[in-house]
Amino acid sequence: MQPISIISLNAYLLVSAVLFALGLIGFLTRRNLIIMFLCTELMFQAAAIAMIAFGAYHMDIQGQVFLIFVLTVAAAEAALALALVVALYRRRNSLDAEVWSEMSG
Amino acid sequence: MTLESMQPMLSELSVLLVPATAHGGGAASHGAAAVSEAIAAGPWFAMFIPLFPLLAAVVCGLFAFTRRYDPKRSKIPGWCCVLGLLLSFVTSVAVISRIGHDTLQVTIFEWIASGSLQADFAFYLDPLTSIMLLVVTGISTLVALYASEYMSGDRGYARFFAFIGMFVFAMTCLILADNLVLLYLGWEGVGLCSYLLIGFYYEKPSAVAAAKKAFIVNRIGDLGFALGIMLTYMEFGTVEFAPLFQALSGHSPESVSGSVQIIPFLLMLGAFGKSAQLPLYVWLPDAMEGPTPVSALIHAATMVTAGVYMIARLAPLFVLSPYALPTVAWIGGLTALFAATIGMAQYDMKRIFAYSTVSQLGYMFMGIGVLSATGAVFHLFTHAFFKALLFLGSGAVMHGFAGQLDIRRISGLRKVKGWGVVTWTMLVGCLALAGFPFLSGFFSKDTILAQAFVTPGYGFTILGFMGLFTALLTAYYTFRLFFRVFLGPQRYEPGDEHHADDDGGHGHEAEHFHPHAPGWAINLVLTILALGAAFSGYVGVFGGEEHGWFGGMMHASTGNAVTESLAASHGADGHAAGEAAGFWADPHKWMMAVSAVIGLVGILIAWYFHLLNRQAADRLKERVRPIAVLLENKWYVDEGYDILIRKPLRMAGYVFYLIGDTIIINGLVALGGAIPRLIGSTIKPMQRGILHGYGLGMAAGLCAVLAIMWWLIQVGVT
Amino acid sequence: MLNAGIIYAACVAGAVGVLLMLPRRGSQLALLGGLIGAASLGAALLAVLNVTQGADPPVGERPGVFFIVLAFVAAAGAARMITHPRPVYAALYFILVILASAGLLVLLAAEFMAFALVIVYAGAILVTYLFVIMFAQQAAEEGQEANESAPYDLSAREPVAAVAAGFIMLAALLGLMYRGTGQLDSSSVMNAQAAARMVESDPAFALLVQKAERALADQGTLEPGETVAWIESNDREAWLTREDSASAESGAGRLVTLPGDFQIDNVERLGLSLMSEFPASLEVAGVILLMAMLGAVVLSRKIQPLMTPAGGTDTGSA
Repeated sequence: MQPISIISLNAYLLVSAVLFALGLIGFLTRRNLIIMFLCTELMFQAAAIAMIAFGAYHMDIQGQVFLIFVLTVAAAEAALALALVVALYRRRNSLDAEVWSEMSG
Repeated sequence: MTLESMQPMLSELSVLLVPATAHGGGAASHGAAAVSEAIAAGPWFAMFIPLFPLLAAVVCGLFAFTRRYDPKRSKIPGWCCVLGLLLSFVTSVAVISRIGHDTLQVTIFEWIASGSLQADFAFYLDPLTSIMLLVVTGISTLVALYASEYMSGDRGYARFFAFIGMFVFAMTCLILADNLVLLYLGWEGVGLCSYLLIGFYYEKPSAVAAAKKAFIVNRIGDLGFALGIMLTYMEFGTVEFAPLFQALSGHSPESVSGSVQIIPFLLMLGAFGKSAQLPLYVWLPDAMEGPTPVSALIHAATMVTAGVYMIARLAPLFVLSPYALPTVAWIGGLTALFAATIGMAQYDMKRIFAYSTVSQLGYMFMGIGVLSATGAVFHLFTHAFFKALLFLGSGAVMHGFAGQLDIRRISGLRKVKGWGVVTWTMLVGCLALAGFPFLSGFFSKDTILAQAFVTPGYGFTILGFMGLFTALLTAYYTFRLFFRVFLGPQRYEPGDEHHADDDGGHGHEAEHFHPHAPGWAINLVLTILALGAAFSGYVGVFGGEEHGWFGGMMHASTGNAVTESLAASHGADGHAAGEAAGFWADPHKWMMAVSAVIGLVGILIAWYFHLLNRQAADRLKERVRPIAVLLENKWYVDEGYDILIRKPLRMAGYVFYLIGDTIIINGLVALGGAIPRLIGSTIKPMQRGILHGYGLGMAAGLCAVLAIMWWLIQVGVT
Repeated sequence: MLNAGIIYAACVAGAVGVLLMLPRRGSQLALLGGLIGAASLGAALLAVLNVTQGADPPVGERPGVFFIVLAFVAAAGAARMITHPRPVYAALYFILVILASAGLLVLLAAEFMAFALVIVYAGAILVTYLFVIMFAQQAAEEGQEANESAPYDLSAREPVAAVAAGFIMLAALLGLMYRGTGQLDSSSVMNAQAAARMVESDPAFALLVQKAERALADQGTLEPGETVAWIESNDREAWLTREDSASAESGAGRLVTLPGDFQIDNVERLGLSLMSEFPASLEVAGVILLMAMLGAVVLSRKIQPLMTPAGGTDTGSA
């Protein structure tokens, strides 16, 4: 085992950034609440790849340790978000995010 | 003597002043007393002088806050206060016996130490302090004793004595103070107590108005005083008396800067406010709204004399300006005459005495202004006795006749049963005030008047004649009151006050009204004060070479600075100057004769118009109606202030309100409200409540930040 | 130096591709968009990988074919996930993304995290998502025809603005990132630094001696009374393979060769680091999970309408 090269690091970071950008675009364009949350998970994935890549470059295990916590938070977030989605869906019988626009100024 | 002819003499005086302004004892009698040496430490128990009244105030204050305390049944707070003040008096006597003619210093604790500003809670004990301590603690003990009966049954009984205790605490702080800051604390403390006690009957609108008036008018003077203290600190770097006097001892009017010469004028303003001199005297007559013991103690005997005390204490500062003390003299003399003319035409007993107080205070200022600190403080001393006596006597009348104070509605009290003591003591008091020979007021007033003729100065001789005329008026208005109220046919109407402790037997109708004769406490106090009024003048006659024991005491105090400046200008004392002027051998002797005659003339006039032939007085009044009306309305000074000061201020306030408040400030506030509203209405559509909108906003912000970073790196900032 | 121009051009092209792929009524250009997107990703990868300074980089410094395949799979899966009109497929594509990125993690020698990702994400979380999706579709079928996407899934919302935002951010991010990584130390320097740091602070290193002792004892090399000590070596590669040796004391002891399979593996290091350096965070993570569970239970509980007392039922809310 040896640290990855800067070229490899750049490549991994490219993938990570692309995934993140796609997740962001998905979050912004999709109206389905579930897909929006899936997109946030995608962004978590992108962050995970970036962290592991940096960890591998620095030969530091803490990148992976941090990913464990990210996974924890993602799991908690997914549980709560899905519970919220279910609660919202029960109210309006729709997953469309735009039906929840009562906070308009 | 004209001003031009005085000028070279004054400048010479100033040069000779240099060694004479030494602090403490003068160069002649006490050698180089405390100029170079450190001041000896005084007795530690001096701290109890303010402490006992403070404790009494706290105890009475606790009573005032206790709901279970019923003032109708118990007089405990009154006795607590009397006890506290008596202990303070006893301590004072013990301290005074240790002071003698020395100057001592007692530091109780370090109070303010900030940078070079050092102001300890410390006492400066010299003979002047001794005299003031005697007056303040002695008179206040007597007044408290009197009030324990006078105030009985009042709802605010405990509150009253708490205020009295607090007042004596503040007053003793004032006179014991070792530095200007502590003096100022006491000064404001007595002002506060005065305010509280004038407004004691706070349900009465007139009392509240009078309290506010006293407080506000005093603020004007106190502003000057505070500025004076600050300027003193700036100029000399200290506010403590001993270093201050030491710093002053090397100075003459030529050697000090102009700003130092302003200091006395600023301090003077404070003294004029506190001691009710022109033009700030207007609060004192109104202050009679307070309970009578308060009028006697605070507004006649002690607090109002603080101005005189302050000038005597800071005399070394005052002599540094050649115009300061003459100003004081002229203001005092004018006030004396002015207030006496008003006093002639008043009908309310307490108001007559209030104007009389203003007038007598004017005498004191005149005395110190014509370089007789001894005379001024001597008059302060005797005045405290007889004016307290007169106020307490009229208070007894007021108490007994349900608040009746109008001298037209009450007559022949002498014959009413139980009023003998009041009548005779009042007679003594009136005689003392009128300057009847060999009573206290006679000696002290003569000392001042004689000095006015002796001291060369800016028209001091004119002042002396004014003083003599004032003495005539004083004798007249005093005995006008006495003859009207106590002699003549017996006739009285009750006032409109109903005392809580009355048993209901005497109602408000005249035919069923039974005067409420004073009890033992009031009679005892009046008797003691009458003895004081009669004989206190002899301390200024016997017991020393010049002006008796009193003169010796004053000679050893800071007030001596003015005497020294006088001596310096003549090479001898005032008597020699009098001889040089070709008068009789001793100005004090001939002045005694002259003023005795004048006093008797005044009494005789009053006797004719107000006892023998009261109709003649009314006829005379009709004949000089315009003058009488003018005097009855107090020269329309209040109205003049109203037109000259209050109305313009109110107008200015209204104009500022219109321009500043409604246009500028309200406009600013409205603008401040309109801007967020405008912004809000502009960007409100962005707040659509749609999740995507917010997400897009966040993403756009993130983009912007990253893009800016990227651009910064591209252009090479980082 | 990277060819920044290619990267930015690829970003623009990718943006166009994604824009075309986004669901829109009557749009037939999704396939074209996908191709454009794939091409731009390829261009970007080429720009990253092919740029050399002078000579070819040594073999191993450049990611291999596995990386390229996995990267394409991940990106394509992500693109399809955000553009597919039906949530079930989106979730399935997300699983594809997870699997691909797990593969990337394996390439990065983070085996444990790769499997954890598959198990936790693809296994647990995505199944929950699928449950919720099924639940919603089930209910939707009552009102509309089956197998038909909900109308809100058929059209993207403000696609141009979102894509622009996303790709401007991507371009800026990449620009910054490559500038930053350009200033990093090369791998060989990192080697030395990492080794030194590991000897100093990595808790796994403390255990390495015990592990070596146990391995040597199992092998029978270690005689009773002997202990194992590490000889300091800056060459990490050397001591992680078995060429380095342990001796009782340098000079006094004897050198032995470690067993062939002796090494400290990823899970061991991860566990040690987690338990020795972040115990408090671990506890907090546990509490977060617990609270999330409680919250999910409370949120998803069906709220029943209040019964009136006249109805005779319990007045409290369910």
